[in-house]
Amino acid sequence: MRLISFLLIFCLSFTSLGFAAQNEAPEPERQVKWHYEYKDRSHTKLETWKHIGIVYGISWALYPLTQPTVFTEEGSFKKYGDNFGRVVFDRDTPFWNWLVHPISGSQLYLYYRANGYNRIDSMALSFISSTLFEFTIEIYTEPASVQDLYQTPVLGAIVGLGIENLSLWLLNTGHPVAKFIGHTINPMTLFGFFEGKVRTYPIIDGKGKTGVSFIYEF
Amino acid sequence: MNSRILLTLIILSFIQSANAYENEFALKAGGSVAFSHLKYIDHSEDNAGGVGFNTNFGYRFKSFEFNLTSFTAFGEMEKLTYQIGGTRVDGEGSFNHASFGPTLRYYFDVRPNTKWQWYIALGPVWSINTFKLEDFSVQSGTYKKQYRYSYNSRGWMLTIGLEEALISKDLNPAYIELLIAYQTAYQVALLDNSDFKQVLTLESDSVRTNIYTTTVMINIGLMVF
Repeated sequence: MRLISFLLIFCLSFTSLGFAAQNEAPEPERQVKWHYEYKDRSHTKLETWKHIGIVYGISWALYPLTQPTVFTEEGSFKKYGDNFGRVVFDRDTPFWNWLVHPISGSQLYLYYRANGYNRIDSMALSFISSTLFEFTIEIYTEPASVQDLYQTPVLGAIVGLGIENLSLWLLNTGHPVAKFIGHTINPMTLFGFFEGKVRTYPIIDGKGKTGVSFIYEF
Repeated sequence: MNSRILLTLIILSFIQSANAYENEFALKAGGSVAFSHLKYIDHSEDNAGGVGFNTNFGYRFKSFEFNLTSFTAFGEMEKLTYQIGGTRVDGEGSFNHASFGPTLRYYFDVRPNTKWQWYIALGPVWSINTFKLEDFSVQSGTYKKQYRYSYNSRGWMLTIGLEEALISKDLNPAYIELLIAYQTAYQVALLDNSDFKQVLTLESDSVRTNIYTTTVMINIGLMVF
């Protein structure tokens, strides 16, 4: 009887331990090779001017490429001279004012964020870049507009902040579909200048303890 | 013991009088509920209701803050008479409104035992209003369904509000404010929106005093960063 009792207790405790072990088993997780985050750092004036210059150059290249019809049919250097220094209220459709400009503003914001500027500085630099675009590039086809001057950087920063948080979450899941969407909505994370891409290395000490090591590359 | 109480009181009073941020840029944004009263030609009047959003981007000193302010509303209009040049039309439909202007804001001191700080702001405002008429009757001239009627106006805005007095702007202080704007139109335009992506201005005219808009908005939002 003692033997049976002992065996019974032994079996029960063994199975309960087994269940406990099963319950405590960690959820399976995808192994991620890269960890994405934003790192704020200080910049030299030269570096900041360089970034403003790069964005300005890209804007000159992208404007005729993205709107070839408007650029060729409505643009002229005479118009450039007439529009120089003018500011008007544009009567564009909501498609442009509430969608295209905030989205392009968000990408400006995310460019500066990717290069290590903090949120408020990224927004201020987006302000400078979009103002330069309005007053010295877009005037080839139309005068600068109040809505674009304000909404591109301000709504752009708000949309950009949302994209920033959502894309980080998606990218750090490690799921290929989520990563694809994360990179699509925040393409700046794909470029080499993105400073928050961190290589992760799993650490196993052989005593049951595990961890992840992050290595930053500058 | 007394010194401990004194120290606690000093710390508490410091927290209450501390601003969430000083000598810094900040961006605030939130949702809005708008009520507008329009007086138009022939003494036609309308009350319009809408929803929208508001943003403030500015630099705060100690008690003063300079902002670039914007508020936007979308809503429905009832019957009004619109005229531009030889085109005159009665109609009702939807509108979108966008206002912009620089404002100077003054923060009052935080009252003891409160977490909120009163502020008042004043500044000039410029706006654009665009109307899409769904149901209309043309009295003279030509007006089509794909046309839009637009006017620019300018005036003044006054804001009275409450903002959470927190120790850091990283805590995203909330605000609630009442905004009142009074504007008069200075330019009207008739637009053709047949092309989804491009708006043609068919006619534009200068006006001075025949459209008065009073807008009352309740804005609720938070400091984004």
